[in-house]
Amino acid sequence: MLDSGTVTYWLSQLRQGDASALEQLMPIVYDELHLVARQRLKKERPGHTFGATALINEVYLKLVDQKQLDISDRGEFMAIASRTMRNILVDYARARKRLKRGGGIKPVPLEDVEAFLSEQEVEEVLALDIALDKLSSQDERASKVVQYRFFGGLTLKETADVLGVSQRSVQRSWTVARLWLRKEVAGLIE
Amino acid sequence: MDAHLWNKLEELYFAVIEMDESQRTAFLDKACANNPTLRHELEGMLNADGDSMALALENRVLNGDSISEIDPQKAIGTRIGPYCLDQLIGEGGMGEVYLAHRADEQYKQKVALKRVRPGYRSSEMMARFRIERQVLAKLTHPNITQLLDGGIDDEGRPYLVMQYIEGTPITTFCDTHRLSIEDRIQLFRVVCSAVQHAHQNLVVHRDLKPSNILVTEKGDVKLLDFGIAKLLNPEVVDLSMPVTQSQMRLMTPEYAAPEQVKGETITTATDVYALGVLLYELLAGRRPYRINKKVHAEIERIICNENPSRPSTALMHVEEAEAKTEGTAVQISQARRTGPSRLRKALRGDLDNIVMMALRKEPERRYVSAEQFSEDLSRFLSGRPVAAQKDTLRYRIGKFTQRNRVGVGVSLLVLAMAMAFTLSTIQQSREIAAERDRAQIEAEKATQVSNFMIDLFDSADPNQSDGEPVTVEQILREGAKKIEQELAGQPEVQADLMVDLGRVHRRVGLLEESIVLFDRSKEIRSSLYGLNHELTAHSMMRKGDVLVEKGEFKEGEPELWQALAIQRELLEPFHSDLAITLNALAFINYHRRNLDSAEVYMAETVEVRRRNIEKEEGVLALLKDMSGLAAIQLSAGKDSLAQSNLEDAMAFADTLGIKKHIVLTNVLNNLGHLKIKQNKLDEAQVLVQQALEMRRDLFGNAHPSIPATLNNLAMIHQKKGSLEEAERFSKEGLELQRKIGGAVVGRSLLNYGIILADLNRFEEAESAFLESIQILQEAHGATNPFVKRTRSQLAELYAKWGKPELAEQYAE
Repeated sequence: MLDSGTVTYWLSQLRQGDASALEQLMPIVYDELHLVARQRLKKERPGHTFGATALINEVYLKLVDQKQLDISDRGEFMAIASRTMRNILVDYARARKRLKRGGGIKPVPLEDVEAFLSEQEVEEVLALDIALDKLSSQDERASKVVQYRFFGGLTLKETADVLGVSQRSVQRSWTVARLWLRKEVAGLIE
Repeated sequence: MDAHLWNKLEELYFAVIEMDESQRTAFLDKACANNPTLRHELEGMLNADGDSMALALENRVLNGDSISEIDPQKAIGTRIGPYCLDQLIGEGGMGEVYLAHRADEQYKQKVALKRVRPGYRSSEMMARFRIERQVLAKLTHPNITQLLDGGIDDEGRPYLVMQYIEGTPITTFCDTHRLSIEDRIQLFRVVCSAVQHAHQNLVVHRDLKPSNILVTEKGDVKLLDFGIAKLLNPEVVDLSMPVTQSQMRLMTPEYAAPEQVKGETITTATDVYALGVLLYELLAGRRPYRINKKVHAEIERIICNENPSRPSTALMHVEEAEAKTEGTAVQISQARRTGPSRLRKALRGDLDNIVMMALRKEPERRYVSAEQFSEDLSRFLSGRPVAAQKDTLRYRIGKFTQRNRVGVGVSLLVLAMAMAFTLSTIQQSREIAAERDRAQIEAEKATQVSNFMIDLFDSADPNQSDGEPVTVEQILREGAKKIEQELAGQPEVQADLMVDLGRVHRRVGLLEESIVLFDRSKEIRSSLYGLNHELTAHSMMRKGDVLVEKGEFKEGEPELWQALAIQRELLEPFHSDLAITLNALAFINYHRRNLDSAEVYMAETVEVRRRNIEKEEGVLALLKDMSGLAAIQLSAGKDSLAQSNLEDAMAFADTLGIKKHIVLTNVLNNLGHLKIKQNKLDEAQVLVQQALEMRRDLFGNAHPSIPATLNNLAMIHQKKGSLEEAERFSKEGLELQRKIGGAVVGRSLLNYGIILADLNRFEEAESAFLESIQILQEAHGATNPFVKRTRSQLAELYAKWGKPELAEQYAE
């Protein structure tokens, strides 16, 4: 098990402007999220929410020593975690595609809900990753809003707090960005 | 595209969605006159709006924002669209209701403004909202509150504006005005006509209850919130979705129909049911069901299984607590301008039958429409024979056997009939078609499975098998035969079912049969998918695992090896199947005393289990294998590893609140064993004593593990030097073992003899050893190590006893 002190330490370093802290944090969070995600996602049925919020909260509770942590670090952590969640899903989707091409294996049957992404979702995750990059070059904030909300399950308020803007503008960015992404993703998948 | 364009996009989007389809093109023409990119983007986005365009991923995330973020009181005094919020008048699961007025008008017309809770997927909600709003706006009826306006506020939350009605719930109105039964029925028929009108416009209310049916001082009936339940909370009414606890709270349980509680299709018949509850209450002053606990399982049980008393009897059956809140029979009668016995008489017969018909569990057996319900009441009032008849027992039983097969089809018929009256919008009918398709697929699937089960049990019916009682074995054998014969055309399904049935066979101890089934599924799957496939590997693994359980290691091992090779190649590293394969391999090696290999396999098994604890029985499997790993390590002399594994397991069980379980007794016992080795005898004694009590609780005294545990306890006392205690436990163990029988009695005798020898009770010790040798030799032959050990113990005894010749005879 990971030492919760480590993550807490790097988070506070991050807050004090130590850029290398991010590089230290990402792999730790990645591993833990990956593990927890695998446990949790497996039991969820397709079509149900995979509860990104719950997932990230679980990792957060596991990794971070709450007593030592400043409240504002929580937002920071969530932001990192959502980026990480995105990476995990993209990695997973790539692996699935490789597996499919290379091995010529039949799709995993529903009864072993091992695949936490459906075929459709695999395509979507990969397209969404590209589209989000494109979005961030146009509107950094909108892309962050999507990432936090979508992959991190942050609430409007949390998102607004992390970004330091009003809830209303988060809501607006969110609404528009999601439609725009749908359009982009549809274009990429076809 | 740049940031400026993005801002423009945002601005135009929010302007456009507030417009009707007809206005949009003109607006876009103007706004994007010299910017084709902007227009292209915007049109793409508008096309992407709506449920059907949502990414599959979106359904997985976004459960909504935490509701606690918003304090409804804070909104008072602020503006929503052109409305100013004056007062919070209601708050429910779906949102809040405010008393409001238009800020931009001279006169202060009071309106009710309903805000949807934040957190719904807003763009889909907006799309749905627009459609529903159009439908509701068209719903004009003197007894239905008019939808005046609606929109989406700055926070992206949809809102609706309705006529504000000052009135009292219909039940209260009837009681305070002391309306007679006849007047109540007349008023109720007004409600029916309003509901009928809505149904003809394809709007189902879904939440009819007294607080939604108000009567003004002038005596006008007004139905509130038509279609709002669906509009504000589409999830609740989605087909075939399990109803969650939180959704449950949104319903009014006393008025919820069985199909609502079960999360099944909601149709106009659902409203007919709620009308039935209302009429029940109007007539008898009570509700058909008493629901005290708001626990979903309990609500479902009551509403779906219990038969309510008929209104005429319900009136009289009153307990004190209810009399306080609902009134006594006399008070209820007085509110109806009559006395209890006359009221009961009035309700008995036709009115009972009419109400009960509306309350039937099966939607298709209720009145086909609110109109027919109303007409039957009109027949009653004019003294003509009513359509409603008593629900006979035979009918109910007959229905029960068919119920699964009819279900959805008929309630859709009801919907279809309501549809025949109406000209619906295209979107509406499309939505309904999609609902129907989904329902049909579900129904077909369910029918397939249930038909199979019905066939299975039909054949298990004693009447069809010459009156002989049918055993589980027979049913299972029959099932295996049917799968083999009848599913030959669907080999995938056939193989899947064989695996399932194989597992059932195994569970009831029919190991031979389960091996045959697993083997057949392996055969089918390898010809379908090839050998190198995870499903084929699954069948091999199952087969190997049972062979190992039977002790046929040689046959099982190659299956497991092959399965493992495939699984390692194709499955994720911690796939739960791996645990089964590895565990069986560990078991083989343990029995062959290849303890190092056994430990490696078991350690990996534990690792895999650890990552699958969310699965069914995952926790217990993990505990079991942790204990198994420790047992291997104990045998290998790796005591400290074993100990930490056992202590982990104990702590783990403790955090999960597992207090009593067979696996836990193994852990306790093994840990006790370890403490004995470490000479921590007091700790050992506590642990083993705990294991003993738990085992007695779990299995009673006759279980083979009890004498074994007693033996361990005796050994601890012996080591501690408390020989009397040791003798007592050992003797008890021996006596129980004799009752259970088997060659193990020989070993119990050996242990008992050793203690007796220590106590210098030579004759008794001698006879114990002699009997032990006899039993063990008979069972295992003269060279068995336990026989040898008993002989040397006997030799020692004779030496101590002062009989050197006999000692000589038994010594090696």
